[in-house]
Amino acid sequence: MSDHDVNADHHPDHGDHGDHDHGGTYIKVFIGLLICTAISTLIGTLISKGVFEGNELSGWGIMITVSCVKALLVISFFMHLKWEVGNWKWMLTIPASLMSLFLILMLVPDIGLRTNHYTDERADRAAYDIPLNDASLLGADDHLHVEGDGHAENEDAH
Amino acid sequence: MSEHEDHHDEHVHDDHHGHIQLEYEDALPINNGKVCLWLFLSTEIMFFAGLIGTYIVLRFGAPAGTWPRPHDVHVSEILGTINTFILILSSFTVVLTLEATKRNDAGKAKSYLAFTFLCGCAFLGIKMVEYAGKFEHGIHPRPGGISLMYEQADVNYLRDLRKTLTDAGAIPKAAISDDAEEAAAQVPDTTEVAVVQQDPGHPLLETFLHQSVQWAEYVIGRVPNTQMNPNVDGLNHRDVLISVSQEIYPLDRRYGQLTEETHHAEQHYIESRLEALPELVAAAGENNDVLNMLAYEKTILEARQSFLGEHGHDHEGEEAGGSHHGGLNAELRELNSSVILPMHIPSGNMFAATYFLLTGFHALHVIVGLILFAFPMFWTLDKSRSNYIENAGLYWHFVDLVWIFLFPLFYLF
Repeated sequence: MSDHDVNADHHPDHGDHGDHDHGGTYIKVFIGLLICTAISTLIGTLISKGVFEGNELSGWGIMITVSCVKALLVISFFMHLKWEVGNWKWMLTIPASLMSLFLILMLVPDIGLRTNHYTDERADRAAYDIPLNDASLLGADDHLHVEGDGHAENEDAH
Repeated sequence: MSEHEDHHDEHVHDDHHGHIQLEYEDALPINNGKVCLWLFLSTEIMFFAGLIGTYIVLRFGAPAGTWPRPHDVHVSEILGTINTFILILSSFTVVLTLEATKRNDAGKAKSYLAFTFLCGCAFLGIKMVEYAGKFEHGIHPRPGGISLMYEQADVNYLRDLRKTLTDAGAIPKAAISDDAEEAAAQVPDTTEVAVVQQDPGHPLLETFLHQSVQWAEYVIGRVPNTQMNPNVDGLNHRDVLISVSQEIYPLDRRYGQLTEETHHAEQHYIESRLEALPELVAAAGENNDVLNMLAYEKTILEARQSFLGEHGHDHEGEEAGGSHHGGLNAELRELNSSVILPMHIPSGNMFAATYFLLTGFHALHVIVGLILFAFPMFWTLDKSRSNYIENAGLYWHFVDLVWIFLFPLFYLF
């Protein structure tokens, strides 16, 4: 505690956010968060109703963007990082966030793309109906021409 | 403080190096507790990023359309939205608590804090309801164990389906006797078969065993093919099994078309087979084994045919009466039956594993946050406590932050 007092003495700027009343800002942020939630929920409901059928990616993109906006609002205002003085706030948040991003990217080749290629053997025994464009990846070799029936079935299904 | 500084100044020009260390210019402009908490939060960012990232990669790496939609696994958007609102509201009141503490307004601070605490409890309560709902429907993260979700509608699925039905006391209605004619005569009259009435869902289970499971077993045993090489009537094992699985637990907008096409193929096959049967019976002559087999086959075909007939009518009714998301499991539930039949939900177990892991870790963090808020409930929340409230608040906001990402990913995608 005494540490803090001494620090405050040497950094008069620091007392800033303590003395200022951010009450109005907080209410605005709160309302902003509620609006963002409403947008996400609306899009989610539309997706489940099938409005985004075949175009889900754009819906998901909007929702993730809205989530990022919400996260920024919470970090900057509720966690008052906006009013913090010093470089430490960048030191502690940016590397960790970057690492989070790379963590996901590292998983993509082996796990994220694990079902992008089907061997014909695997496609034949797949538990799912493999969409035509996935199955057409098989077309790189001649197997599909041999298994004419299978190809026909896939075309029928779509 | 001023005394201290005077003392400091006096010795600044001294050669005594110890006093030089009293220069605090290079220290962080925040208290040590907050530094530590932010350090901790930055590790937490990576912790949750690992979990959320894994979920995202698994979710979007699943073959197109094979990840369960929220409604397939009883994820309720409404409960999720309420919980989101609760957490945002509690984050807001934490901020108000801190402001009140800084103003030395202990009374207000205490009531804001109590409200925050209640919000946290409400969040956990709703989470509990959600978990219980999933467990009730057999959605567990343990394939081969207590989980009733099956990745594929394959022979293992069919075997477990048969086992569940047998354990529940369902008996196939086609009784085979040594006398082929007797067996054939017995079949249409189903009332003669003894029914053990232990479970309110019993008649449904028997009908299902009779009309669907036996049929699927018949197809797998008699109709050799694979997906790529369906037999002449367009029947293939996988699609028949999938359409049977849809009778138990229809997936949201997934297999409707496939089921319909399969039913047509079944109808076609059954008709041609039933036409061929009398000739085979005539050819069998006095061979009782063959006659029995043919009679058995006839019962299975006829049972399936009658199912397809009923289903056709159901389907028309559905289209007229709006969307209907039911299935056998839902009907059993309405009858208060204790039986839940195995469900075919592609990637369902992967969903359950990630869902329970992520929301579970998040709930743990909520519990920790509640413990952090429980202590100051017994304190006077004056200015001297503002550091504690600030740090506990930072932690709570982080918990809110994680939920901001979990909510759309699990409830809305």
